[in-house]
Amino acid sequence: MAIKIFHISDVHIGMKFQRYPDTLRANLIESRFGALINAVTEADQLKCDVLAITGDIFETIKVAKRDVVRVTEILGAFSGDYIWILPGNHDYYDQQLQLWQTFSDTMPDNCVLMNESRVYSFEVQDIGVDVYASPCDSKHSKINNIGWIKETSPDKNRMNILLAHGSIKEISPDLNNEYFPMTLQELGALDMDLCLIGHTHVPYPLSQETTTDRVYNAGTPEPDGLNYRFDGNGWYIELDQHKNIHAKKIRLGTYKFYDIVLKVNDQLSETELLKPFANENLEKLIVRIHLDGYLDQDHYENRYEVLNATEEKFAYVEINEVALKPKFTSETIDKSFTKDSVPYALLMKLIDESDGETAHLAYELMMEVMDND
Amino acid sequence: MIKKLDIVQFAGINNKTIEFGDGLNVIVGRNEAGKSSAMEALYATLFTSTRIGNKKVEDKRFAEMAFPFESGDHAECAIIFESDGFKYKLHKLWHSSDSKISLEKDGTKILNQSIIEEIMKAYLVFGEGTYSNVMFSKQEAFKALFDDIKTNPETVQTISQLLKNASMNLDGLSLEAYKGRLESELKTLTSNWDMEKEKPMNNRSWQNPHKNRIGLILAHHYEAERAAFEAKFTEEREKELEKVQAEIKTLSEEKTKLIGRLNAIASIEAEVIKHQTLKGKLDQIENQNKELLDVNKKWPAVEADKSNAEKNIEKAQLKLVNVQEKLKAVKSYDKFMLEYKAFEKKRALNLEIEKKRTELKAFSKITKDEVTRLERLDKAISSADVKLKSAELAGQLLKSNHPAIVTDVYGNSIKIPVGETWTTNAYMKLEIGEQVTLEIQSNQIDFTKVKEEFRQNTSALEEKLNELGANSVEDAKLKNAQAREIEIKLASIEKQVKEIHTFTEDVDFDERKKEYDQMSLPATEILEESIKEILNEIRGFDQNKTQCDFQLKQWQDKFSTHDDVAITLGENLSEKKRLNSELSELSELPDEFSTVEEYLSEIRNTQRLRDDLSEKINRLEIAAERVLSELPERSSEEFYESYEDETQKMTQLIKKAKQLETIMEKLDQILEQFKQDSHSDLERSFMRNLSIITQNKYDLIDMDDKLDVTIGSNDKMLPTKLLSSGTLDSVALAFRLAVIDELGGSTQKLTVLDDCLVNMDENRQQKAIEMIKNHAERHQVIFVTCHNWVAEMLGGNTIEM
Repeated sequence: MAIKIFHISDVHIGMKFQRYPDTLRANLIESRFGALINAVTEADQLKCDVLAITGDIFETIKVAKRDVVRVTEILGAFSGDYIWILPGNHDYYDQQLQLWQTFSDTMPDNCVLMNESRVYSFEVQDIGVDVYASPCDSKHSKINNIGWIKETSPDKNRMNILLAHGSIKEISPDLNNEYFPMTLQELGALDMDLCLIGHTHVPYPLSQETTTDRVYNAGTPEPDGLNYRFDGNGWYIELDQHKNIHAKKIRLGTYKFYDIVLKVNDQLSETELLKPFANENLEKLIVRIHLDGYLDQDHYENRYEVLNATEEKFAYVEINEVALKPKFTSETIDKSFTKDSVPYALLMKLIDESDGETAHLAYELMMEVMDND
Repeated sequence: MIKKLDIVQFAGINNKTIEFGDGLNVIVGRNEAGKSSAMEALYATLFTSTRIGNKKVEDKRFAEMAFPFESGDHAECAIIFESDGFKYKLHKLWHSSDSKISLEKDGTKILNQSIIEEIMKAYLVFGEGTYSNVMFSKQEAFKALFDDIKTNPETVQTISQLLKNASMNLDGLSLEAYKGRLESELKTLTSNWDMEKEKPMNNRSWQNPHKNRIGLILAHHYEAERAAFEAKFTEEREKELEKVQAEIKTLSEEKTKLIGRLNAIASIEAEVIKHQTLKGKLDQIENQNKELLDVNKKWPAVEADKSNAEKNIEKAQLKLVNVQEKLKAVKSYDKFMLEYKAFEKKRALNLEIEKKRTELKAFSKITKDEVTRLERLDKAISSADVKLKSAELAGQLLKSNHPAIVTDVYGNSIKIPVGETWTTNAYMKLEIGEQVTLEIQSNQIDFTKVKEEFRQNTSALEEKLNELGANSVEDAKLKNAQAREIEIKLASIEKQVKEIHTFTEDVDFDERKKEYDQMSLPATEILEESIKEILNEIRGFDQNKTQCDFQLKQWQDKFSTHDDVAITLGENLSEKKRLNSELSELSELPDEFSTVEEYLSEIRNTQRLRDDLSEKINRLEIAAERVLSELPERSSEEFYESYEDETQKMTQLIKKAKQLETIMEKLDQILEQFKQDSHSDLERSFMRNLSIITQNKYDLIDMDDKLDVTIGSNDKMLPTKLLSSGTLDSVALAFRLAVIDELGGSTQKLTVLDDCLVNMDENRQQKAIEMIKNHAERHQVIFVTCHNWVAEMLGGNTIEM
């Protein structure tokens, strides 16, 4: 006898992705719904009793009503016993908010909106379960919401599960400590049988499968930006009546983001460009490549041919060339211009007194002018 | 020097060897004979890298040009050249994946590409650019250098200026166009952007932006500013909203507590109020009952009191009549008594008058004269007495068995014991016992006479006194005085009697008095007092009656009748029972309150506080609604991301703009340097070539009227005719050859000339050929032409294609 929980978090429905081109933007927006659908589907396939969503299912408290309704429709497909919904810091709970009113009005019957810091009791697979819910009631807070649990005495005869949302010091950056910060030690001290946490987009623990961890951070099911390099995941967790645990990371996301620095030396080829993305489905990759290094003149000049050819293989590629420089030398000048001519002298002077990059810019413009002539 | 070109396969040429000689070489052949391809092959062998692929544009272009049409997948050539006394063979095979290169030096083959490149670099002296732009250049390109000068002759007035201008535009780069391109590029980036301050011009922010001429930097700056503003705006709204929501939450919790409290106390408000009302009614009934019971009890008593009072009044009034009658009797008695007293007084006065008259009779002898006589006798006695007393005798009974009895002149005797002394006046009679009697007389006076006088007078006096009935002279005097007094009194009484009213009616006062005395009438005061008391009594009774009447009237007004009081009492008792039963069903005032007012006040206060809180919450909810409506749909995090993107882009563009500024600055420096340089060697070479064209008469050439340029012979003023279309070809050739001459000093250089003589008239052709031949004396020249006559005119090593 075991309780099967599918744990996800930080879906961030309603993100706008303004920096991306229209088509991709629409796909990225859509992919977040897709991740939620994937989570429901996976949870059903794994015959989960509970789908636990530990906060930030929505990006903002002003998410469009149609999106909220769509979310509740998606959740309605889950055939397990319960859907536990915890408001996070992005979609914090306030009874005046239209968001949660719409959600409550349209959520499926098996959905429990845990908008109060208290114990919610359930019977799952004939096992008594007490959920210690710690929802967020604001976007920022220097104090976490799990303090109240320290004052309680969990019933050891029941499954005690914490649902909370906030940064965990050891695994997530929260420089100003303003996102309900907590620590693994603090979570451990609560003596819960299972802690399901949201907020940090990186999943925790890092392993794919575990039987020893009690604290789980779902991460986001759908990667949401260049600063997130992982897959989109959820945790499938089994908790038997003896409180033994078995958890497995399940991939849910469609897109994946890479923000990488690619060191180049003389040459730029598609092979070089694709090397970091081996075994990835390029069509679902959103990539920013910071090219760093020097390219031979011809490689530099022809880099867009390579880049454009490569770009077509990805969902989206953004090249940052700030650190990319042409290997622009006197040989190149010699090759192109008559000794001591004005262009020759200018480029040589720029190389000597400024830098190859500036000289190359001057050169490129010369070529443009000459081509136009 | 290039000795030989072996073309294994290049464009349309297969297995073709061309041998070159020193000096002038003329390749001649019809069109499409492969002359140009041969020159391409020569150029490619010298400069085109064998590192080609099939992707780069120029690689593709090269393959298209060099690989034999359709089926050719490679090109292959070799050149043999001499340098520093060594013979070299450079072999290249261009293939998309299997290119080859080798260099044989005096029969030793080198495959290392870098070494080959080093050797070739040393041999070629100049870079590919110099070769492509000068040595292998199309002559048209050089001619074009002078096109600008021709159209803007005012900028070029001297040979030196002409050369400088041509030199500056060498390599096919129009400096004007380049400058324009740099400026436009910079403008595209920096329009309305202050590079120095790194701010928009006039410091105009995105909220008051420049409307026109927005450079890319400014555009991104505005986008970054906008994103930063939106991020901050969003963040502030997010935080403001959080704050308002937290306040709402706190107040709502407070309100919930208040409502709880209110529900606890206000839910029973109606019952408490009803309880209070019923309790009030009950108390009222209790109070009324108390009164009713009292009234019920008192009503008969008051009626009895009233009846008593009425009876008492009646009695007292009878009593009063009685007393008043008595008083009347008493008053008539009093009147009688007044008359009686007057009667009595008069009677007493008459008696007094009688008495006085009697008294007066007793004193009737003692007249005033008698009194005077008496006084004279008394005076004669006194005179005899004084004389007697002046002859005082003293005696002492010295011895005797008996006391001596001494009798004086006046007959007074005293008993004198033995041993005692005594005195007498002028006479003494001493008797001791019965045996002794002795008289003694003084001789100092005429005792006998005196004694006689004394005795006579005394006797006369006594007689007179007896006669008068007086005891002494003094008494006589007194009685005389009394008689006078009585007379006066009598007169007075008589007067009084006359004055007393005398009753005319004949009344027997004493009899009447006796009658009255027998009546024993009380005193008027007593009766009057009694009347007063009775009146007071009546007043008291009357008051009692009035009070009773008043009380009864009150009760009647209030209760109608005594019976009604009883009926009301009965009704009240049953109402009281009903109320008590109803009260037992109702909530009582909670213990914490001492009064209903306090309880109600607490409810009202709590309601007011609740209403105040509701109002505050309402206001805050409106504020929250407002903030929420202002909150963009994008989160602040997404705006910050945009800000960073835009800032990064802007930074890149600023960097590029700075690079452009650097380029422009350096270009200006270079051009300035060009202007400063003398170019004397180039000028000398050009002049040498020019002298061939003008037969040393350039300064005598006629001016073209259309060109407004002054010429002269001494200062190398520009022979403007040179710029006329007819001579431009010659001038351009002269310039090109001069440039080659002056490249890197005096070393021998390769010069590849295309068919540049065909547009010249014969005269100019002659002069150009002379110029080329002159050039070929110092350099290896390959002249390519499709005209045999040109080849013939040029002479030199003729190579037919």
